[in-house]
Amino acid sequence: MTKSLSNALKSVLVLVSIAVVCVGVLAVCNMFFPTYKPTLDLETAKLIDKICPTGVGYKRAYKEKYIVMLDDSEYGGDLAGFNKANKTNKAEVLAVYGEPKGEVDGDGKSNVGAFIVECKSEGNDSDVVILVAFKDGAVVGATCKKQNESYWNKLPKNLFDEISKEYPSGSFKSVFGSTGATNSLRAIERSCNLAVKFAGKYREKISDALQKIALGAGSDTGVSA
Amino acid sequence: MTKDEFKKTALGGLTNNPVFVLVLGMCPTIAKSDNIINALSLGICTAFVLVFSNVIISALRKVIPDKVHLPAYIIIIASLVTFVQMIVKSFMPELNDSIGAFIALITVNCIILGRAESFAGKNKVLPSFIDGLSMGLGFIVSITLLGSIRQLLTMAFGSGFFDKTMGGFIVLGLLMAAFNRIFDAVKQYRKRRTPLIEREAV
Repeated sequence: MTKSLSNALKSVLVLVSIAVVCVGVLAVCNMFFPTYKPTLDLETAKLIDKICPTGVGYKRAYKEKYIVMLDDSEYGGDLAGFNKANKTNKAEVLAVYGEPKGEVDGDGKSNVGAFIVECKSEGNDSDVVILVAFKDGAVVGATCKKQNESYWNKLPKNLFDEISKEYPSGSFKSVFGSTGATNSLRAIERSCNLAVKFAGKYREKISDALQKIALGAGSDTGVSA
Repeated sequence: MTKDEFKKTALGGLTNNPVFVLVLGMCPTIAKSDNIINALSLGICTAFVLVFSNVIISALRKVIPDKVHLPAYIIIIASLVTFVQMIVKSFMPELNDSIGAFIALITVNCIILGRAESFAGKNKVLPSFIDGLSMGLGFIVSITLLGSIRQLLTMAFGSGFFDKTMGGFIVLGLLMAAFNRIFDAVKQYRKRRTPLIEREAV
């Protein structure tokens, strides 16, 4: 009885030790792998200019600060606090970009004063990073910035166009049906919903901040007060 | 480790080829041998896990109680697979797009658990390392060969058959038959030749 008990204890101890060592080694390794940090690079500017055109092309928009990345202090927001309060949404707001100035594009529209919220949520294999553009409180465009999903190709090709045209009032699955990439679609849905929530809360503050930036830059094509 | 044992272990990847002889790990072999890049990448990932799991399991063989050896092996293999997955996700996102789902499935690959159970759990570290390397190379060569032939056939006859599961099974079956035929012929030739050499020596 004592022997079998000690054998059982030894077995459990060995298994637990192996598991703890393996988890520890993986955790240490994980610290050395690059983690994603949102930045406003040329590629991001290209994506933003595609969903919310500045009217000057993405290269010039990036160079001449037609698109800017907003810090918490610039619009009086609190990203960390907002994410903490919305932890149950299983998504996270990563960054806010704005368009303090812009030109009228080919369609006769101007997106001056628009802002873009970058959100992430866990998909099937990795984090899915989404950019959602807002103008006058409505979603005017959305796109994916980063994903490593295995079944991404199964999503509808016009998914982001549809979201931009009319933001779904119900769940994305009820609008787009079964896609074969349920987890990826859920990640997009969570990200977009959190972006909408964030925009609803900070819309006016971001608009004020963009006006200030436009006035500070002395732009005649900036946000009109 | 004697010379004969070394030779036997080192040639394990050929004489007991995991794909063509033991017919193990068929799921990733068929699913991801539709082109040469996917096949080679998955082969390398599997070989990496195979070599290191063999070494770790062999080093811990005296510590792991017999009753819990399988769960212990699975934890070790799963940790190595997670490590490989982290590398591929971080540094090769395009590759992760194409073979990502199958990297996670390396954990339950019969080749790895089979070698751990039948060899690494009973032998010293060096022979286990050689066995892992030999079997890993055997797997890389066979899956890459299958991938390159399927890709060539797809290029020649168009997509829709040889890049799909059905075509994969047919090509694998033919390759398996050819491999075993050639291997048998070599064995027969060596059998016939050995007495002659011995006679000459006398």
